[in-house]
Amino acid sequence: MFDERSPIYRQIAEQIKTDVLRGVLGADEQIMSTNQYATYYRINPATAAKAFQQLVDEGMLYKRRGIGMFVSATAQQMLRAQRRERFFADVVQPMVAEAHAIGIPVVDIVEHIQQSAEAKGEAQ
Amino acid sequence: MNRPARRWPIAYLLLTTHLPFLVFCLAGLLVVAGLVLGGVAVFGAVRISALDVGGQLLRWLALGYGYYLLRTMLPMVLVHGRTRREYLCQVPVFQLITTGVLAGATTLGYAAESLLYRAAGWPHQLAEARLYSDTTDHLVIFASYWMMLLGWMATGSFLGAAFYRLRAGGVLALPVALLLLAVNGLSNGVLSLPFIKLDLLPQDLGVPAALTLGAASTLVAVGLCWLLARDMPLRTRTS
Amino acid sequence: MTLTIEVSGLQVRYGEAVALHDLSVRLPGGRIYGLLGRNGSGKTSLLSTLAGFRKPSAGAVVIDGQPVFENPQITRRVCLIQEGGGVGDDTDTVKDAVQVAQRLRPGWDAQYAATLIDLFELPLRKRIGELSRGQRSAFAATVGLASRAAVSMFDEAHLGMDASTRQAFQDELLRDFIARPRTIIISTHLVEEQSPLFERVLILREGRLLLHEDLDELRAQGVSLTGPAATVDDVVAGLTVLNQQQLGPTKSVMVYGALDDARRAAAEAAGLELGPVAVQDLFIHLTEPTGAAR
Repeated sequence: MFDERSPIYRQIAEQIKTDVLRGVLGADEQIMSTNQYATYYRINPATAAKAFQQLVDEGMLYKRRGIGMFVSATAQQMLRAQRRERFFADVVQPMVAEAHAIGIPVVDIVEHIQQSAEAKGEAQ
Repeated sequence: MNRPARRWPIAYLLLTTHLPFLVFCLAGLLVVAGLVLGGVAVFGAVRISALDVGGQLLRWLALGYGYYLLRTMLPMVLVHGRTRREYLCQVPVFQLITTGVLAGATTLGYAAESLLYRAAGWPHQLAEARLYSDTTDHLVIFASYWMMLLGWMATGSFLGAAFYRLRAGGVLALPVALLLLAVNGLSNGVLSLPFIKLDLLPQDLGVPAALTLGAASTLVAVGLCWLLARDMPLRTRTS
Repeated sequence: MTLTIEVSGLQVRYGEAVALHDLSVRLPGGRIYGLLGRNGSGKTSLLSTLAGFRKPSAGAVVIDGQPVFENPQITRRVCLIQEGGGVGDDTDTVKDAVQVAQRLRPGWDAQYAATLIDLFELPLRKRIGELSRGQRSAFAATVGLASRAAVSMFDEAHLGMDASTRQAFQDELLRDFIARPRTIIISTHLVEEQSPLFERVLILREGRLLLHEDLDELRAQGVSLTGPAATVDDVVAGLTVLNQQQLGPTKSVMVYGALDDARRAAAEAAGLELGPVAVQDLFIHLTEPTGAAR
């Protein structure tokens, strides 16, 4: 279920973020409770609580006393902004480095990307 | 739960589950003695009390059961959250009551046997020299059996503690146990173990003195058991 | 209510052999602790003393402010289940053994015990001595859970259980812990399988407490560095190296502790490959006997 190499709470937080980003979890939607999460994923409830706390601190979730945790209205927007910022560093640069190492010209990459985009009907 | 169950859970548990079992064993012994008696009556002449022969086996039951109480029961009771002190205080109470019940039942057996022998016209005699003068000396029969069973059960517990705590070193406790049983033997006649037979002639000693010695040896057994078991570590895999 | 455990200067000796040396640790209540260590590292000795099964040779074991040994106020709120059971007389049936537990253990939950017996499919009429190893372990686990002790400890209690029974036991343990928070200590070798249950881990090595940490902290503790041997050696100089392997000119080193920014930058600048280390690997290398090559 969890990769054994990094803290579980970070993995949980990442999963929730991915769900928010993809719209699986909508704005103001309630998420599972710590205990439900712990039982479902077979982890210590304190670990789940830590993940939720981190997301609250980051402004992704908000607490409603006595009811539970909810996705904040701006969560998806914030995540998109964050991922956009990291996109070139995390995705494009390694790709370019790899292409360079194996001898694929940048022109070919651009062409390939344009083709994929057209296939998705998003060409401009 | 009622009051004794709350205040004396261990003694209460043993009295309600183990005492019936021991009485059941006694009943089994009586049945076997009856069968042997029947056999003797068919093929020969009955002269001595079957119970006075068979009843001596009871002490082995008491010894083995006393051993079990320390060797098997004590560790289990600790696992269920009780302390050694609780156990070692409640078990002698249980032993006192249980051996009393068994001795009482045996005495009733002697009385019933007397009636049977009288009806059959057999002489109802003792197998060997005993503390009690004859098969109708019921009070002394009762006291003698009680002391014997109590002493043997307490000695069994002492051996159980010794073998649990010292493992093979428990053999060191055997001579001590033998001595305790020899002294206890005074309250019921002779000490007869396999290969050993001491003629202690208890009649010469007198009933009060014999019973006092029996009680003293029982107390020593209880004390030794306490010394061994009061801080006895539970056996575990040492990892 | 949860109970705090305090161990100070604990020593356990078996004759000449010392199983625990001067161990001190404080375990606040209401958490699940994992107790890890190789065979012979002192796990069972520690748990036995915590349960009052054994008197400390020196030092003190205190629960809820009171010494444990021969203290009925504490022992009835503490339960230790060891591998292979010992929770019932072999000649008793499962049903009788449950009765005994119920009559001896204050706080025994008979209904929960019945539920667990169903869950583990234990034959009520069978004698304890006739149960399979897995069934015995499942029965012992049943006793451990249904005792509802404020301090519940399981010393490799899962041994002999098959994978699905183990899973059922862990799920039940977690569910019951959530419903009734208490202190749970689990000693195990199945680090990968069981560690997600733990909030904190204690690792023993040769009778000493090697570390006591949040599980998630431990997961972040290891770093592996791979690259040209000389460069790797430069970067890891002064760090706790857990393990190293060399294949031709390439060296791979596992270090304990997070890399600081300067070292991380140096490693990245030198083109070293950085990676995390699995908890199981950390555990294996951390608990290596001190005599072994480090």
